[in-house]
Order: sequence, then C-alpha cells, then structure tokens
Amino acid sequence: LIADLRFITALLLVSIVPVWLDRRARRGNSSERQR
Amino acid sequence: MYVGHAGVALGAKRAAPSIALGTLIFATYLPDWIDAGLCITGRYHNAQMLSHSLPAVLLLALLAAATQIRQPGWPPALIVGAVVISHILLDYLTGIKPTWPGGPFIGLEIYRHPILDFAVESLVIVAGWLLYRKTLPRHRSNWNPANVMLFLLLAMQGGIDAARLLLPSVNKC
Repeated sequence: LIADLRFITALLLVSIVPVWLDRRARRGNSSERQR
Repeated sequence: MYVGHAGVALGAKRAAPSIALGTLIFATYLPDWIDAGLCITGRYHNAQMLSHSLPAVLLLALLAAATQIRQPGWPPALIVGAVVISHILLDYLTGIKPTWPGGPFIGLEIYRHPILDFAVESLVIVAGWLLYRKTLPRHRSNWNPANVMLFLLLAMQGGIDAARLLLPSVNKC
C-alpha cells in the first residue's frame, strides 16, 4: 500500500504543481496588465 | 523518466497554446497513470506491457488525440498524441521498457546512474520550461510562479534521484 501511495502521490505532485503554478502565472499576468 | 516528462508537456504548450497545460501534463504521464491504476487494482506487472509497450502507447496516443478532435485544425490532436508517444521514447532513454508482446526490452537504463539521470532529466525540464515561458508575458519578480515551477520541478527530480542513490532497491509499485 505504501508503494502504491508513493507512486500515485509522486504522479499527483508532478501533475498538480505545474498546473497550479501555470494558473497563478496567467492570473497574475492578467491582473498586472489591468493595473 | 520521471519529472522530465513534465518538461515535454511544458514545451508542447508553446507549440499548442490553446491546449490546457493540465491536458498536456495528463497526456505526458498517461502510461504512468495506467500503471498507477494497475498498481491500485493489484494487476501491476514489471513487464509493463499494458502501459509502456509500443502498441499500448500508440493506442493511448490515439485515444488522447481523439479528445482533441473538437479543437480547430489538426495540430492539437497531433501534439497531444505526440506528447503521449514521447513518454515511451524518453523512457527508452532512462529505463528499460518493452517493445511489443514477445519483443525485446530495450533502453539505455540511465536510472542506474542517478546523477546522469538528473542531468538528462534536468536538461529536458529546462528546455521545455524555456519554451513554455515564451507563452507567458514577462514577470518583474524573480520568484514569479513560472520560476517557482522550474525550481520545484528540478527539486522533485533531485529528490527522486537522491532517493534512488540512497535506496536503489525501491520498486515503482
């Protein structure tokens, strides 16, 4: 079970982190342009 | 390959800005998600024939490309399919993977040399990130989300390679 969770956690991390930061980067840029 | 696959997704974002990064990331890790599903259901097998063989990856690429048929033009479908296929090509570089049922297992297996693996995967991550960054307007701060992303991806890769150095016998599933 620990091995399953480790593999899936690594996959989730490497998937979620770039998507989350991409959204922040694009949202940040649009609010910066509005200012 | 581990985090290097994310580098391919980032680079593909430059080629197809209309595709959400989440879609490209999911496409680049699709064979691994199949492995994860097999892992949970207890059907995972080191042979990885159902997830990482050429026929399996081609089928996954076709399925992933089919999700883009509503997008105008052919590039989005082609790019998503190519991103899925890139998974096995990069895995042949870093690991040892199946070709087809009954066929040979091939690969350079640089996983055995975690420092070399870190160098190769970092190269793919940085190359993809440099292309991806062109899809974003310039930020003034050094600690903007795009730079943080590069830092975290390299840190994750470093952590994985450090774990392989310290615990070489740990299995994927």
